[in-house]
Amino acid sequence: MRYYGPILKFLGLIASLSSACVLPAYASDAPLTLPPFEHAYEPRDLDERGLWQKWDEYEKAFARSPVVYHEPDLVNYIKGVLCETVGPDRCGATRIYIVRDTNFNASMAPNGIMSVNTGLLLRVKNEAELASVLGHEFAHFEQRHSLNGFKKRRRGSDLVSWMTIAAGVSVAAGGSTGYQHHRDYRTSIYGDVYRYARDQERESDILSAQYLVLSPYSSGAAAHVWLRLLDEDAEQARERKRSRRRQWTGWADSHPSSFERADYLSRLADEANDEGVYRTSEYLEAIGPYLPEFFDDQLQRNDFSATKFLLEQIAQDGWTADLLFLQGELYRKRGNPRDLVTAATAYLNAIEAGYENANAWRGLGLSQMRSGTQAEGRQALKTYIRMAPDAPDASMMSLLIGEE
Amino acid sequence: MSLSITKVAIAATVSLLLFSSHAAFAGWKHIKVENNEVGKGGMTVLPLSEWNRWSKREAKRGESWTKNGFPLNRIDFFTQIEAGESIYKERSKKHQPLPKFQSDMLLPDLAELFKANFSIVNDATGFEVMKLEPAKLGSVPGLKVSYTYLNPNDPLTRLGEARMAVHDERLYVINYTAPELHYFDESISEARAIMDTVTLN
Repeated sequence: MRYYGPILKFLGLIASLSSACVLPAYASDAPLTLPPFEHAYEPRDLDERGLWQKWDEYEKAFARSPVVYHEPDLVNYIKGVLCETVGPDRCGATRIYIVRDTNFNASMAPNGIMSVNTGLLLRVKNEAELASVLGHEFAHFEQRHSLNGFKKRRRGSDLVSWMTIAAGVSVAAGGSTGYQHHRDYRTSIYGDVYRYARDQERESDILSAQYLVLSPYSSGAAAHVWLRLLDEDAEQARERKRSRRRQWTGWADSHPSSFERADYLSRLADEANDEGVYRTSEYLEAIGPYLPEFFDDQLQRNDFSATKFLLEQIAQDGWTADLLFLQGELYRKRGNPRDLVTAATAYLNAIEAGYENANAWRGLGLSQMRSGTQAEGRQALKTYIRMAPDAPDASMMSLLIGEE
Repeated sequence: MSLSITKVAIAATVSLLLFSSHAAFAGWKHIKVENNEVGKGGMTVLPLSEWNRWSKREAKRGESWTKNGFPLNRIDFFTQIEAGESIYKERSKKHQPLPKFQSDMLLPDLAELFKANFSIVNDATGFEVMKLEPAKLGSVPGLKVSYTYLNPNDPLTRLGEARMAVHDERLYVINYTAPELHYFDESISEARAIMDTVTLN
């Protein structure tokens, strides 16, 4: 938000002054209602039955997969947020699976499987933001987007196949432009399929905003998610010396750009002007116990600036002992001489703040030994071994401090 | 004269295609039970049984062997990694940069360097070190990492065992991975024998 907030405000001003920017939303005086929901919906036609059958088979294996994070408390918490968002009757149709994946993503299958990546849980800051993403995924389910998208892609590929035959016949009959026309139409059809997918995403965003307006949560949270993703990308782009992503929607993009989504979602929130809650402390309390594990995967991505950004976002309301430890890990892994000093300080702060896990002493010892303060480093590693004699690396650390 | 020019053109095209196909398409090579120069001469390895080598290299001076296909068992050799180089080949500095070997790294730091390189290249999550202990790679003191990891959309738990050592200020790694189910146990003893007997050049 630090980069894009002012730009978005400026664009919002332009949009409010321009009659061309009309959102298909709830600007009218009519009361906001959700589409009718059918309890215990069963697939109707052959295509839908086939899709459901495929996903039912997938779910049997997926539910047992080691990639799925089996933590009933966390699953129940996320399900609770979804139920508050879409209502208890609707949310009963879903099963939530938390997937160990550092990417920001969630997905919804036509039979009610909702997958939520740990990378998404790291990147949302409160229940309202989580609710906006869960609501978006649920909207895909409610609007039967998987089925409609499948039919759209099939129609497109059917058309391309028939046109290939027609172009062949045309050229065989002496036509000179058959293949050229074929290429042009094929490009146009593919573009139409991508456009259709983006429209489905927009439709889900808008329906999700409606869920939020009718829920206890603030619909203003939805735009915050995309703005923060843009800021995170800006941090990564600066470090990696690459251009920024997700600013503009491209021809072959399956989703609108983050910038576009932030723009129309913030305008929808302005129109709704609802007074919902964010529940930041409740969210941090619920995911707090899992943060170190989620971050461990993120710390392996060699993505210093983006990870630092994530950590600082979570720490906005205060650096807890857990967060200080993770800060130490982040700097130690980059390992420049100045980083090792910062890391050692972070570990010491974590210990002072009450971090009880022996790994803080491990990180402190390794940072100090590598930065030239061997005596202190050995002492810290001795404390680590004393606190965690059965640690997987205890023998290695004993060798390092010369006790083996 | 025109015919001979045509023949020369055809011959040139065919040789170009043959030459370029060699570079463009990867293939398999049979590894026999004999001393093998591995990773462009970075290591000398004597396997106990026959393996297959994939021509595509995961590192500038590395190579990869398998018995039943990479998803089922795989041994990777990484040799002569200089300070400032990553373990695996860095295919995109802008989109997937890899952490680099630094000359002042402690032995446990090498394990973390490997963990990050491996996780990024293989898109692995849940990389958990089960044991990190001192061990020799050939005759050079180093370390052994035993670990487990997960791949997205993969129902199998996978195990790995890597040995690393720094020799003449250059890092050497041998890494064996396979699914926990059946395949890891099937070839781990041979992988360990290779790690025990390798000569670092």
